[in-house]
Amino acid sequence: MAPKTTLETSGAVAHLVLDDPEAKLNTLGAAMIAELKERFAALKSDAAVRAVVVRSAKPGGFLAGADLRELKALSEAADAAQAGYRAAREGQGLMDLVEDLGKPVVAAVHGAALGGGCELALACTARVLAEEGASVGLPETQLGILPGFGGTWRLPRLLTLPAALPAILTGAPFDPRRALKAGLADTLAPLPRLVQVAEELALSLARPGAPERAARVRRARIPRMNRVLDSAPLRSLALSKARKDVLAKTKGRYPAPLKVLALLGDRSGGRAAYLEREARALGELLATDVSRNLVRIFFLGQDAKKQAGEGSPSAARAAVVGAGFMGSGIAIPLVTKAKLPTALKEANLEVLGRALKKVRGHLDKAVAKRKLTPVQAAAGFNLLAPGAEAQDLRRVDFVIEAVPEVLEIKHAVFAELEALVPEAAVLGSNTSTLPIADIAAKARHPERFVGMHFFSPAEVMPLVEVIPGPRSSPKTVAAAVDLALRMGKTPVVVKDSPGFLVNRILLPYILEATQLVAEGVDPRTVDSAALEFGMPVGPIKLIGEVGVPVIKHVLGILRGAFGDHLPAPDWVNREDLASAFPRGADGRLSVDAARIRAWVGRPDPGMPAPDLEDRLYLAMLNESLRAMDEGLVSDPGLLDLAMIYGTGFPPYKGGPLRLAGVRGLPRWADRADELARVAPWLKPCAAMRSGRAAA
Amino acid sequence: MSQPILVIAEGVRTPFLKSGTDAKEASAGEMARQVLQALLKRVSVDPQEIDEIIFGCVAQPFDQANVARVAQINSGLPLSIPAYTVHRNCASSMQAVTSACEQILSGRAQVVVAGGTESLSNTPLAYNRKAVAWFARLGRAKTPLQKAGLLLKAPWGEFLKPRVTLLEGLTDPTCGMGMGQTAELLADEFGISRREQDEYAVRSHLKAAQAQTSGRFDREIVPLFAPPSMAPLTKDNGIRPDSSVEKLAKLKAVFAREHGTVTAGNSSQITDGAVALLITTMERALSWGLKPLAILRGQAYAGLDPRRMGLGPVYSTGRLFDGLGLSMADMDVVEINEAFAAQVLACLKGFADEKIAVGRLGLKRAAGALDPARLNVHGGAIALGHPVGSSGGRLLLTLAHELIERRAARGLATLCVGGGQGAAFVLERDEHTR
Repeated sequence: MAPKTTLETSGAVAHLVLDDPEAKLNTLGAAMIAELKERFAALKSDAAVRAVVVRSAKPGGFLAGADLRELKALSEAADAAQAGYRAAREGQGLMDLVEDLGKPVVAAVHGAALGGGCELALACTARVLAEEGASVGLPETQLGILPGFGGTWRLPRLLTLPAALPAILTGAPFDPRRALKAGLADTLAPLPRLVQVAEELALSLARPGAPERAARVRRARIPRMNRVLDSAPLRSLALSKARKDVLAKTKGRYPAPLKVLALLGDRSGGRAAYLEREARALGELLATDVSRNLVRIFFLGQDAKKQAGEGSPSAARAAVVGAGFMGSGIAIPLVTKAKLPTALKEANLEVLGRALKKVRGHLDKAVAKRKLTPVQAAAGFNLLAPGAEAQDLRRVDFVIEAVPEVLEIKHAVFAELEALVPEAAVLGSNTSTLPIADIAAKARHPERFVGMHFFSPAEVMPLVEVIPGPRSSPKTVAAAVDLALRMGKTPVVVKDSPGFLVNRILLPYILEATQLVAEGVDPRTVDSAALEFGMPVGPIKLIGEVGVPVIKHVLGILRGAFGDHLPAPDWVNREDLASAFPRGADGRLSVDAARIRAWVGRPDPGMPAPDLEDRLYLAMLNESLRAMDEGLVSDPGLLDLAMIYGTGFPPYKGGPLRLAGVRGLPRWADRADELARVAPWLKPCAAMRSGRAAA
Repeated sequence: MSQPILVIAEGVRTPFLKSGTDAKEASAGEMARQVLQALLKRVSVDPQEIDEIIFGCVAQPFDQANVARVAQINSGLPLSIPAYTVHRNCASSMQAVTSACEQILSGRAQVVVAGGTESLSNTPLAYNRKAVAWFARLGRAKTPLQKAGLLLKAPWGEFLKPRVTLLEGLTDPTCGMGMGQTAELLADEFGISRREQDEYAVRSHLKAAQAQTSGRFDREIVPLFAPPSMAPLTKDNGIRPDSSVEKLAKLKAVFAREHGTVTAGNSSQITDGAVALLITTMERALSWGLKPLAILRGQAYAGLDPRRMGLGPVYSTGRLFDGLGLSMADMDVVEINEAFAAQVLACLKGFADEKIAVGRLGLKRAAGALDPARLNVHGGAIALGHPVGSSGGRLLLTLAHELIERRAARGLATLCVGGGQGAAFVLERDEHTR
């Protein structure tokens, strides 16, 4: 196998250059670990080498972390816990070797140094970060595991426990300025001088006492409060508070943060004993379903991002037509992430003014959170060209329409657009329900129409359903996928069918919830069953949040297409349905359960909690299986991904199809048969009975 | 090779908004950015075709040096386009057009955006000389003791006597007269009464109110989304439809208190606003399939006694007419910037009266009498306001639209310039223009 590193020498300084010829980014797989161990062992014994610089030759970054494919394989092994433990011990061995090298090792970090990459940097004597774009952190808990190469040992020692805790528990990376302030970085350097600065630092650290002095300098930058809180009695206080916060936030559904906290609480036995415990904890986490689900979703998301539109010309100028709630939300990632000049067309100037205010507000918040500099925020805002006149759009090459969901309005808008935009421009419709076939029915060039269903609020939700119409060209679809990616979204290509994918599955679930209410169950009981299941919002409350008119509109369309297997509770059809979702003075929406119960006028049947939960889930599962059967998406993983990204389906459960696989479809079919005695629409669909298509 | 025909291909302006009101948080650069974007959206011209961007600005923002470049970059126009800011007092945006024309005629450009921007809301207060000197000493102080000593000697009183840059900017540094005082001088010399001035001002307001109601200005105006609310502003807000001679009579003279005639009511308003015009050749405009707003037939500037700067239009128009072989009789419509009613009325006498024009002002001939019915037919700066760096461009834009409106052949836009200058432009229509 070709070596993944090269060695260069510059006087007494050896440069160990990470440069995996087989990958775009360096990862810390077993082969890389083994090679680095050999390299460091040789450097240790080489008397001519007084100091070492570790750096990467990849433009993309330093070292992106563990090789997740290896990790996935480990987690799927029969003895995952043992395999994970052994892998962690290997990585720890490398880090210990670096830390104990007896010569200064300086990490010169540009781009990402995450997970194992961060742990390697932590094991070094000092760290130089590129002023711009360096990102250092331990995101492992987001995958349901923990940093197992000594990261949980070294980070708290470098930063103090109060600073390291949130970094490990949330996985949020440090940007260069925060890294410097926290004592993680020794210094920052402009990218072109990064290597030179690292080399000079490495040489200076070779002088006796210099590493200790550098550590003192780093330590002095750490906020005094954190240093005080890092003392023995206060540490346990910090840990117990963090534990409380984690439990409140995750309800204990995610084992990794709790494991991290337990690990950090036990300092007995020094480094060797601690690392032994860390490796064991990693193995145990790797063997959990939660981590398997999170890793799978991570890969599905990565794959979705890799489907980049091959050969499609990337849009250079975009336009959004309609600056209402969705249009303004879509404009935000266009200017902040895709950084495209974006014409925002809206006939009503007041609406346009409000949209501009919303974009400004969003950017101001990003500045306040230090995600953007004021100059970057202004540049983003200035990319927006607002206007009431359609003639704005003569130079754009991608239009996203976000006008009301009325076919006649869409037709009128697209007729005007087709007359204006260049021949090659793509016309995307942010519709949540209307078939693309219908929208493009009157088009002169239907091949350039495509559905782009953004989820609300569009500036936050990561999913975009890309819906090719029957006559959309592959180039058009590729352009839509490409644009969604550049907007930082995850596109999932879905067949043109009523409700597309996510609403198709979500609505039966909402309807099942309303049916339970119609049977007398308190709306609050229904909602808390869904929350208990792991959904972010209860389905009844969701009706109010999405908006009663939208829900009724989507319901109408789905009933028309799939009425045969949907319940039809009366109270949802009420004219005054919206009155059940009052907004308080603070703008917060609530569910007026008493009012709904009065409408229904039935006593609570005292339904057992498992029945509630299973009926809600089966409504989703049945529809998911039908969607797979109809080929709405190409792969069960994409369905799970779409439901997690689009509705907040609990990620640790892996998605509706994956979850079904845990108990097995046949058992779910039996359960559905049982429940169908009172709720006949839940009868298992053919796919469930046959056990096909589970993930 | 014959000289190319220069045209105003397209133009837009923000509404003119009284300083300190709706646009007070929009900087000159921000307003210019918005008109630039709006102008480019109106024409289907590839921005790469633009060779230069020039803006006039009088109170150039200290935090947006070369405001034209700031606006250009922020508007998303290609960085490869150069941009500069020009200053000829009230004629700054006309100077931008002149500079554009000169670049095109010299062959160094073919397509130029020329505009003006002015945020008089954002003119700063400055520390006076004594206060500045103290701050300089403080800056040089090295030890805490020195600093403490200086703090004890701080000229606290001076801190409360700032220099009002807006007022000082409106004062001629060579003759020491405020602009209003120059208007008083003309009123005295030409025997223009307070009542005549007030009547003129009322007409300006009523004509502008009529034009606003009828939507006449909507063709020129693009919405200004003013921070922080970003509410769209589409109407000039200085127009008083209920203005009357009785109401104006109640105002006190501000520039000469004892026997003065010039009041806030019969002077132009202090206003924020921006304008942008696309200047190119007829040939180029037609190649885009665009019918230009108007042909730039000719332009002239003239200097005169700063104390009588209000007569600038008489001098510059005289020079322009001499060059073009035209007279006032050839003008279907005329726009004169209403810096002061007294000054406009004095100009009317200077145009009409051979004895004044030749005898007193030393011109070769009188331009000819100007029928008031053809003058500022939709009101002027007394009603709309005078965002100094933008006013000249606004006159050209309004005149161009009025020529189109009346299917008229030719018109004059002229303006007086603080410091003793005048500027004058003749615009024409032909079968290729709109």
